[in-house]
This record gives sequence, structure tokens and C-alpha cells, in this order.
Amino acid sequence: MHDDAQLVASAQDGDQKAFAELVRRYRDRVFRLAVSILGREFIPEAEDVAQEVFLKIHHSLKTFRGEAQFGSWIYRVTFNHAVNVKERARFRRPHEDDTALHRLAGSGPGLEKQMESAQRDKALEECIETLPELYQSALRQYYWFGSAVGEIAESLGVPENTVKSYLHRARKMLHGMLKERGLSCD
Amino acid sequence: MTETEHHDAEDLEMDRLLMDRMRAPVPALSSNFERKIVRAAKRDSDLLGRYRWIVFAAYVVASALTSLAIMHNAGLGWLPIVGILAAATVGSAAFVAWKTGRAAVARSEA
Repeated sequence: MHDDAQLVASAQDGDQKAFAELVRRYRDRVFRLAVSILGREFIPEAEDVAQEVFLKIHHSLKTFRGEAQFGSWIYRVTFNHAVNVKERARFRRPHEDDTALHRLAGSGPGLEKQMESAQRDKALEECIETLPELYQSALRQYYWFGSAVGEIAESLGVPENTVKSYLHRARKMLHGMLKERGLSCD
Repeated sequence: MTETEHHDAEDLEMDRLLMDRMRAPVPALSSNFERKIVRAAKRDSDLLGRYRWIVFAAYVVASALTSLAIMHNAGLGWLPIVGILAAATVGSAAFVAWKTGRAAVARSEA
């Protein structure tokens, strides 16, 4: 089993198998990082981001000097690319009105409670969208994917304590935002 | 309840809500993702490799001819012109070889 540095060196010499192994090693982590920045409405766009990141990496492999870890490099490229794509995708976000909420909640007994719950989910998602990208990514990786703090720290290129502080601050901000909208957390 | 306890309770409340509301199946990449990337990368490097050499050769020939014309119009004889061009070519080739060698050593050390 080769380590990343050996695979990178072989890929730099034109070994396509080494590059394929790097893709296999990092594809899921790169995709998840892209999803964690773009959010659940843009999963196809996240796959496009992952694809473009690998092609970008392949293109610039020759200039990679190995001063940083390959993983840190690819995560940084992914983060920046996903943030750029999100900026563009924001304008194409589908508009959801209350009819969609009714559909989501269904009908029958407990409709009011379901409506409230659906409303809170929608508000929660909207509030998450207003957080800084690093907080959004940490939050989605932790609560949605169930990733460990160490994994999140590696993907964002920050120490574990910083991730913990991102999560804490994000929860505090979300609590305040939901309260402002008159929604409870329980 | 002290202020710290109040904040801790809020944090715990929010943590529970997020645990409850955000957990969902983790999305997966399409099954042919890897094949698509490797194919695109191969196409990319084939094209790049071919065109890089064509562009480089055209550049070298064009700049040699231009230098030759300028030096000849300036009244320089053919012998010094050929000498200057040969020195420039050998110098550039030596520099490229040195840089390539250094990059290879750096890669093997990494």
C-alpha cells in the first residue's frame, strides 16, 4: 500500500493508475466536504464540484511541491471551489412557499403539530444558510454525516478545538435566530 | 439558574434539536464517478502533452528566425549570429535540464 506522497510522485510522472488510486482514496471525503458547504439542495452540484476539483488537481499536479500534505491541498481546493459554486448557485435556489410546507406536513390528525415541525425544519435550514461557510460545513458534517470532530478538523484544515468552537458558536447563533423567529428548540 | 448554566442548557437544547432534525442518509457519488474522472484526466494530459510540444517548437523556431533577421539587419555577420544563437540554445537546454533534474530529485526525496 503506497502512501499519498508516493502516489503523488508517480502521478506527477504520468502514472494514471496512481492518479486513479488518489481519486479512489479522496473521492468520498471531497464530495462530502462539497455537500457540507453547498447543502442538501445542491447534491448534483456537489458531485460536479468533486469532479472539477480532481481535474484541477490533475492539471496542477506538476506544480505540487509536497510542502503541504496532499490531503490538505485537495481539501483547500475543494473548499474554495465549493464556496464559489455556492455563490453562483444561490441565485438558482428553488422558491418554496407554504403550499410546499402543507405538502410536506401531509394531512390528517396532528396537522398543526406537523406544520409547526415542518416550519421549524425550514426555518432551521434557512438559518443554517446564513451562518459563515466554515460553521455550516462543520455543522453539516457533524450532525448530518455523523463525522467525528477529528475528521472535520482535517477536512477544514483547523485544529480540533477550533471545530468544537465553530460548533458551539453555530449552535448559539442558531438558537438566537430561531428565538427571533418565535420558534422553540424543544 | 446562573447565566453559565442557562447558556449550557440552551446549547444542549440546540444540540438535541440538530441531532434530531439534521440526521439523514449520507449522499453518495454516482457509481461511474471514478471512471469519468480518470477518462477525462487521461484525455486532458494527452491533449496537453501533444499541444505543449507543438506550441513550444513553434515558439523556438519563430524567436530564432526573428532574432536572426534583427541581427542580420543590424549588420552582424553570419558567423557571430550562428554563434549567438547556438550559445542561447545550449544555455536554455542546460537550464531546462538542470531544473528538470532538481524537480526529479525533490520528488524522489519527498
